[in-house]
Amino acid sequence: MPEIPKSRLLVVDDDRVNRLVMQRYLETEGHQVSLAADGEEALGLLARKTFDMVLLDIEMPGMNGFQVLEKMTADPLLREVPVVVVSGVEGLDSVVRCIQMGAEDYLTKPVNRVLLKARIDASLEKKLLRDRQSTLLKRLQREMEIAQHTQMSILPERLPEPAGYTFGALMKPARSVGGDFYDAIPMGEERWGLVVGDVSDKGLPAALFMTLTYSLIRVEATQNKGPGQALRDVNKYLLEMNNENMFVTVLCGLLNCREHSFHYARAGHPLPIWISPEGLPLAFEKRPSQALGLFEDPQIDEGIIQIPAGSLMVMYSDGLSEAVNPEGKQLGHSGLEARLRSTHQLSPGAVCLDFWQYVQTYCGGSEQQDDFTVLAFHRENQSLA
Amino acid sequence: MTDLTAVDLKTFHSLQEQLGADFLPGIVEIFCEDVLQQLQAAESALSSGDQSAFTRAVHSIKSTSLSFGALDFGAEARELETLGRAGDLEKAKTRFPMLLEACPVLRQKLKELCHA
Repeated sequence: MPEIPKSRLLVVDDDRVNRLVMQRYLETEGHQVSLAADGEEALGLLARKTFDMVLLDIEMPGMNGFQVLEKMTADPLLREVPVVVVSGVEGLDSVVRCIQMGAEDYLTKPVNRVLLKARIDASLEKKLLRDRQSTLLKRLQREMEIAQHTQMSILPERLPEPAGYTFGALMKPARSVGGDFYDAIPMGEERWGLVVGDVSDKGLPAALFMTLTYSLIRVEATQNKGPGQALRDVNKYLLEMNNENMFVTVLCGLLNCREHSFHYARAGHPLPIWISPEGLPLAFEKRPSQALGLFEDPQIDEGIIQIPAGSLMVMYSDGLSEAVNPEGKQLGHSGLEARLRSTHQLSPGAVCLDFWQYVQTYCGGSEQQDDFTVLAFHRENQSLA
Repeated sequence: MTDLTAVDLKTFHSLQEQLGADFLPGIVEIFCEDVLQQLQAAESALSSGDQSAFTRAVHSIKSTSLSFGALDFGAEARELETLGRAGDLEKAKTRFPMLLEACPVLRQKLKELCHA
């Protein structure tokens, strides 16, 4: 049991003798005591001073105990102050009403000193624990806000703007922080390393693993070893540093905006959706692949494609394809592809936003279950010239 | 017949122990003053037929009397409170004088007990 600190108590009773007797008892226990003879005086004191607890008589002329309790419950600043109701034995119905209204406990008159101390200590202990919990929660929320800010700040500040290409991206974590990420790494000579990753699980552990993976990919991708080898090397480090059996799926590709080629490597991640200028799906050859962080030598699906003018490619995380509608049906790659066929003429940025709204509508407005990430690029038609 | 001036010594001494012997005479004095005031208020309320003022006054007397061990005095105040709540002020009028008469004797007894 935590040590009960000496507290600031307010005794509200219209009877002078009761007030003085309670004051004597409480001051002997080391508490600071203020007295109020009626409800209005009590509310005035509560507005001016901070109290740790109120001992409240019910029957008082003018504003009675019920009215004081009602006002306190309605006030966000006073709602958390515990109230112990003090009433005669024949007033138990009133006590029940007070407890229903939010009073913490009750005492019967004449007040017994031993019982008074026990009830006050119990209520103060509960308040102490609540206050500690609230402080910890606030600290945790603040730390989560910082973590969220830090996580969002490591995402690319600006998307690539090579001639003949436009880009768009959007990430919406399901919680304050998430396990999804995307990146657009400048590789020189109009080449860009494009990455979308998705760590198993969500929340803080996923966010920490995501940050680790993100950093490793940044380092390995810039060494011109090709996306497949870069992912294999990232896997090696993840196995060394990962004691929690976490894993990450990654789609990583080198977009050459001069040669209009996309050299990609896929580790357990969904293939991109790729739409021709006419709105028809362009197919990838699908080969098996495995997530990073689990196996010594994971299967990596690697390939090189040519990007036709006017085509649009969307890299995404499974927060989109595994979105579930109220009937329990997943949206799936085909659902996303069908949507993109009707929106492919929008800019990549608008396509990303449309996907976000489309997924939310598909889920019937239910709470977001998984992180949502899209990275899209469009090769303009005029780049043919 | 009930002695309205009786003081339950167990209750009184328990209160004395809890409050401290030095503190008790002062609080007994205040109690006696307040009871007197409440009795006057109750008497006046009975005369004017003010049911709620009467009930409030005897409620207050009841509450504190029990603390000092004046159990029968407090019980009588409780009876009067019940009559007050029921609006039976006529019956209350017939019983109220007993409380008035008992008050000075009770006061004296409590003061003596403080210094016993």
